[in-house]
Amino acid sequence: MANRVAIVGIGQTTHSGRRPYVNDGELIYDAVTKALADADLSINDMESVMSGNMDLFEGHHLNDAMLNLYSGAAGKPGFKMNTGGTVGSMMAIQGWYHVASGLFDLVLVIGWEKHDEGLVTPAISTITDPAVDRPFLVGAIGGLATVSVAYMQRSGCKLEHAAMVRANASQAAARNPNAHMREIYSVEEVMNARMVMYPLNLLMCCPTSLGATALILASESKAKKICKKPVWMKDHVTVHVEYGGAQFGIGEKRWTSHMEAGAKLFKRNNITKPMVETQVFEMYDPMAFAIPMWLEDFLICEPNEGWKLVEKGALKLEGEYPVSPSGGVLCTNSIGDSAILRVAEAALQIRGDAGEHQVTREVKQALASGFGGSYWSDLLLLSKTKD
Amino acid sequence: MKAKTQEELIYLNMTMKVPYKWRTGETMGEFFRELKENGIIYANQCPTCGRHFCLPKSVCTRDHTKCTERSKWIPVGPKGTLVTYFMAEQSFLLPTTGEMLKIPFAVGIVLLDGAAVILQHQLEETDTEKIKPFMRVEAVIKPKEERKGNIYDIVHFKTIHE
Amino acid sequence: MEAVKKEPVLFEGYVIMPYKYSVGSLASKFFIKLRDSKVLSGAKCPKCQMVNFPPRSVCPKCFSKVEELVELSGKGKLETFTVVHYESAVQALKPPYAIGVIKLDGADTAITHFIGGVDFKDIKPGMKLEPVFKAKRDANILDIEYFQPA
Repeated sequence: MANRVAIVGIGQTTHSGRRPYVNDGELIYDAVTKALADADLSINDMESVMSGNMDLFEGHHLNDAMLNLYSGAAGKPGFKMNTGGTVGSMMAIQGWYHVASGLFDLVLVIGWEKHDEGLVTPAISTITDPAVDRPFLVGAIGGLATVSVAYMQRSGCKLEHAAMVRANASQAAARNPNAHMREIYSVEEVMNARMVMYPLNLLMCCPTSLGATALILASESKAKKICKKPVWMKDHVTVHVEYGGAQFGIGEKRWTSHMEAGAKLFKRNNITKPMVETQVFEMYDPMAFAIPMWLEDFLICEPNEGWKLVEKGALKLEGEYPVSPSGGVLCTNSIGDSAILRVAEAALQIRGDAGEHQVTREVKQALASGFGGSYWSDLLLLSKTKD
Repeated sequence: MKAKTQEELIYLNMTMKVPYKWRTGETMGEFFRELKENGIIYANQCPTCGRHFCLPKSVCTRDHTKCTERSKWIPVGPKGTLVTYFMAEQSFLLPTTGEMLKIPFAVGIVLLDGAAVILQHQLEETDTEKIKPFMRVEAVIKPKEERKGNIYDIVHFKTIHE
Repeated sequence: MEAVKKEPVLFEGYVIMPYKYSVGSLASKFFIKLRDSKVLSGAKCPKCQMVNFPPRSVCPKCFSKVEELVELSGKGKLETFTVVHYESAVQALKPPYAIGVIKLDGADTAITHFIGGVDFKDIKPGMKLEPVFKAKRDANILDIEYFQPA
């Protein structure tokens, strides 16, 4: 049986598009020292330090070798991970495994990216088969554009709904001092943005940001001593996808890794009404169609109902089910950091420490997700109480 | 308020150029040989679930069964149905060539007649008004003397009206 | 039952990726001094006084933030070395050439750089070295062309 694990320290850098006065290591150091200060601990208290980001994005390979000075990993066990867009949530989950196993009491996990220094789209294109797929992929956006067209075809969702999602996200990000794109956009302004890849225009895509997030995870006995407001990592699910056409629902019954993740997590935790039993969802939303489409896929709402929730304004910060009140990945996307930032923001909502972007509902349980690679899904359930 | 002096910051500009070799494996090797020599698009079959894969897979993604029996291969397409698509209206650096993508560039997700999984390839049509969901498309295959045994032996998918 | 026995197809290509690397605020000051005044400096920890060179903004010993640069004479001692004879695509020099681990006077950490101006057979650990600077400098570590016997 796994031991209980709590988040006891949260540190994030501010996020931006350029930050030339710090190098990669200094960016990490900023997040790590903030998390240590939040938990009132020193680097010597950490039993393991692990970091994750995307190899190749900054032109580095196995960058933890040169960065362990700044992360504090020198002399400690741990590893570096890269699982695509899910790398951040996988860092939180790997930290969970270390503590839940009973082998570690205090673990530091870090996700980071410095996007201003490399080219994301060509780097992502190298994940695919060079003989057949690479010429046609054009980065993550190609895949996301195709699932968006398919969603519009089957659900009745229109471009305007995606624009509403982005306009809502801009309202939320304006209240989050750590977000990257904090400009407020109207639905019309979003609709008028330059088309990048149909149906996604420039504002419907996530930006390329830089930033780092660090979390300190503790065992139950340590958590009680360290922290007045521990946030419990109650459960998590990781699902990989089958490479092929099933996600489009053509020829076969539609199946996605998000659907599998939602079904497993809610069944295991006896959650029958996710929008009631969890009060906020920090979703990894890399483009504007993601929020309505993936609320359906995670089985949080009924099929073809996601865009209607957008239309009703239910997903806004003060709405009946707030999604990504931090502004989400739509406003801040430092990829290796994006999914751990979802966990950090969901934990801040539970603590009541989200500041100006704290949701109006009382938060007892929160969801956070990661997404990436070839449509892998991480879904985490965080809770104010340990049981 | 005191004016902020502009601090000079140093950064290095570099280019990584890594050569690599990639072997397709025997199953995809056979697919490319048939495409080059006979101009036929083949799908292979999973002996467990019976699905036909195009592009062929040597292992079924669902059953984890080996799918290497050659007698189970069937020609598929060249006609098929467009499932969905994307249209690049902004260029990107192509990591395979170091050149910029020529736009507009439309890529279709196509289910070939007879196949159970999708194939992605370029579309001839680049007007989003004229690309309709579930429209019929057909693979345009290069003349034999120009075929090299790679994915570009299929030029693109053209729209057809049946 | 006939299995697929045909040869795989071999594709050869490149992954071409341009990228940038910001050295950060403290290291920028170091590289600017190197470029403009041919001065080498180390980073001194305010807490444990350790001087790391080339300068990094976090103390490797006590994890403190380091913001102060101290000027070094540039002279130092060779800790160990090797001579490179094989050729590969990523080298800055054409082999054969010597690289050494050099600890500068006043610094607590060492740097790897080229050793020149000397016959390979005469290179000995412990020998005193000094930097030779390039005439045209661009604010990077190759502004030091190599270290030679002092």
